[in-house]
Amino acid sequence: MNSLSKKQKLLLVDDDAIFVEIAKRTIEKTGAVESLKVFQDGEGAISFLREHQSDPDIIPDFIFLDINMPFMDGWQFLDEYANFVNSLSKKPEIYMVSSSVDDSDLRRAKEIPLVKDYIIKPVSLDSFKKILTNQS
Amino acid sequence: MEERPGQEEIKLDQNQDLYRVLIETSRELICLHDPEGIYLYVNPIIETLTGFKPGELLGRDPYDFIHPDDRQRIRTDSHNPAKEGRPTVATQYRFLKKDGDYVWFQTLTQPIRNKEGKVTHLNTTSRDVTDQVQLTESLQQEKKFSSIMSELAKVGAWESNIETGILYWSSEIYKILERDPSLGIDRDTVYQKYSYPEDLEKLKENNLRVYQKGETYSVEHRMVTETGRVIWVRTQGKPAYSDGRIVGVYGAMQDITLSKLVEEEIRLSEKKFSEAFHSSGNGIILLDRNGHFLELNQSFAKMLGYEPDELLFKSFQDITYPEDLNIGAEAFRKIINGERDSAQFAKRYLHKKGHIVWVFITGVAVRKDSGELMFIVSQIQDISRKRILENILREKNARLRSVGTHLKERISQLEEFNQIVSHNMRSPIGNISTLVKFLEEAETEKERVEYMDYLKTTSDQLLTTLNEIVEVIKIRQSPKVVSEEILFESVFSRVKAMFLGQILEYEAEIIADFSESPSIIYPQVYLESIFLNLLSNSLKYRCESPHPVIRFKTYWSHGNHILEVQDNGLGIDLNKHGDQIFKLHKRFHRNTEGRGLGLFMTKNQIESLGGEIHVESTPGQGSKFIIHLSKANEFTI
Repeated sequence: MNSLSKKQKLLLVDDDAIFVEIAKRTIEKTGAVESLKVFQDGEGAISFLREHQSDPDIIPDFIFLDINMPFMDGWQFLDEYANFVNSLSKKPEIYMVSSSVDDSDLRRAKEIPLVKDYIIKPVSLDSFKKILTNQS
Repeated sequence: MEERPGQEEIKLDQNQDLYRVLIETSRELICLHDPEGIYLYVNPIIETLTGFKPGELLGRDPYDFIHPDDRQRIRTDSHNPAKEGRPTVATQYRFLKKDGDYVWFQTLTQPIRNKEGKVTHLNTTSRDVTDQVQLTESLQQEKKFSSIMSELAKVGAWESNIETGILYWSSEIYKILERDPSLGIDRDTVYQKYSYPEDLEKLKENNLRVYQKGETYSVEHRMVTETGRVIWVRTQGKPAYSDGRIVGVYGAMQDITLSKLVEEEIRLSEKKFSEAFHSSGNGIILLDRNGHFLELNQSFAKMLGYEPDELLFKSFQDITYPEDLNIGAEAFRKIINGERDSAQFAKRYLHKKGHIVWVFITGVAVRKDSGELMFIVSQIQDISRKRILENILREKNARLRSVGTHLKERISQLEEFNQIVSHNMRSPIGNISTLVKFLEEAETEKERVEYMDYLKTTSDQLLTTLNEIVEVIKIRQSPKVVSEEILFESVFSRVKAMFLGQILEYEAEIIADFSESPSIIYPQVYLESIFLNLLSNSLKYRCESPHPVIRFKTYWSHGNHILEVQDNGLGIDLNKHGDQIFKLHKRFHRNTEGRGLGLFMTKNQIESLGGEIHVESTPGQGSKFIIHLSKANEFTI
C-alpha cells in the first residue's frame, strides 16, 4: 500500500445529510483524501464544475453521485455533465452511489460510459479505500 | 296479219287512203321492220305511248329502246321465230320512253314474205299493258306478303263446305300439322287423326253454332300433329254464305304453342315468387318510387308487430326510427334516379309497441326494358338479436380491456412502491446500520452523543416515510371510500379559506368556474385533498411578478368529467422532470421547502378512483393540471 502518497480531491453529490456526515468520516479514515466538497443536488455540482473547468487543481479526481435527489437527480446531472465533459481540464472518475438495488438503475448506470461503477449504500470503509487508492 | 294471196293486185288508190287512215288513227302501235328489226314505219300513236315522234324511230334498232333485261327474251321468243317464218307469241317487255321511264308493251310480231316465201319484212302490233303488269306485280307481292305473314305468324286458312263436304286447308295448316299437302284433307281425317280427343267436343259444338246461328268463334285448343306432337292452336270460325244461306265455315288456325309455353312459365314463376314471398321467414316488401308499400309479407308485418293490412297505406319512412331516416335515403334516391340497382344497409325500425327493431335490408330495383322503375323489392332481416349478442361481446371485450389496463396500472404501482422502498427506505436504514457501527466504535462521549442525534434524525425520517407509504397503500387498497354528491363550489370555498392568508399576502386572484358541471359523486376527503394540493402548489410555485392568477374549472369532455387547474406561476421543465413530477419526494424548484408529497398523494387518490392526472407546463409561463375525475365508461351499449 504505497499509493497513499497521492491525496485525492473528492466531490460528493447527495441530498442525504446524514449519509454525507457518515461518508465524510469514513473517507477521512482512508487517509487518502486531500479535499472533499459536498453538494446537495446536481445543479450546484454542475455550476461548480463549469466554473472551474479549466483549473485542474480544483477539478476533483472522484465524483460520488447519488441518484435520487429532489431537484436535479443523478441522471440529469450526467446529462448536463456530458455537455461539457470535453472541455474539462481533467476527467474525474464518476461513481454512482445509491441505496437503490433496482436492476434498472444498475443497468442504466452501466450503459453510461462516463460512469466508472455503481456502489450500493451503505458504503464501507474498505470500498472507499479501494476506490480512492485505485485498487479496484 | 295473215298473208293474203294477190296482195300486189290491190289498187292503192282510195283503198290505200283508207288503210292509211285506219293505221294512222289506230290506238295500237303498228310498225313495219326489216327482218333485222330496223323501223321502216311507225304509226303516230307512238308519240302518245312513248313521247317519241314516229320519225325519231325510223331507221333505228328497236333493241336500243327495249330494257336490257328483256332483250334476250324478245330475241328468242319473238324476233328469231318471225325472221325464220315460224309462228310467234305475244311477249311483254319494257320499252324506253323519251322521258327515261319505261312503258310495258305487249307485242305480237309477224313475218311478211314475198312471192318466193322469203321473209322480207316484219310487222309488229303493240299495246300498252303497263297497268296490267303493275296490277299483276302487286298481286304477286300481296300473295308473297300474305304467305310470309302466315308463315311467320303460323297462321293458316281453312274452309269447310257443308253441302259438298269438301274441306280445304292452306299450305300453312299442312305445315302446322306436319301433313303432306299432296295427300289433301277431309273432315273425318281431321277429327280422327289430328284432333286432341279431349278438345274435340268443344270444336264440334262451336262449328254447330256457326251452322245453326251464324255466330263466329275463337277458341284455344290442342291438336296432335302427324308426328304425334301435341300443340296448342287458336282456331277462328265464321259462317260462309251463298244466296243468303249458310253453306259452310271458314276461318284461320294459328299455332300458339310457344306463347302458351311462355305463358305457363310466367304463371309458374309467378307462383314460385308468390310462394317465396308469402312463406319466407324474412320480411319482403315491394316499394313504389315514393317509398310506399305496394306489397308486404306476413313476416315483415309480424317483425314490426302489425297486421299486413295496417301497413299497406304506410311508407317505409313511417316505420323508420327517426334518427335513421338518413340511412338508406341516399341509396333509395340513387335507385329511383337509376344511378344504382341495389343497396344493402342496417338500420332501425320502430315496432308498433315503440321499441327498436334492428334490421338488415337488401333492396333491388325492378325495371322495365325501357329502364323505368317498376318497384323496389327488399328483403328485411331482423338482426336485433344479433345486435344484442354483439353488444354483449363488445361489453365483455371492453371489460377485458379494462381489466388489462387495470392490471398494467397495478404493475406500474408495484414498480413505484419498489422504487420508493429502494430509494426512500433503504437509504435511512443503511445510514442507521452504519451509525450503529460508529456508535459501537465511538471513543468519546461527544462522538456518541453526535451519532445518537444522527440516529434519532434518521429514524424519525424513516418513520415519516413509512407513514406516508402506509397512507398511500391505504388509499390504493380501499378505493371504495364513501362517495357522495358534492358541489365543487362548497368544497372549494372551504379549501380557499384555509389559504386566505397567503392569497391576501401574494395578492393572488383565484377564479373558480364550476358552471358547466357544478357537482360530482366523489369522496369528499379526496376532492378536498386534490383542491388543497393543487392550490397550495400553485401558490408555492408562483412568480414574483405578475400577481398569481389561478383558475379552477370543471367540465365534461367525451364522457370524461374533468377538473382543470391553471396558474401563471414558475412552471416546470417537463423535458427534465416530466416522468418524475408525480413521484414521492421529488421537488423541481430549489428555493422552496416542498417535501414532494402533495402531487404524489393527489395522483394516488385520483387513480384509486379510476381517474387520471396530466400536466402541461412551460417554465416561466405556468402550469395546467388536467384531472379526469371520472373516465368515460368504455362499454356503454
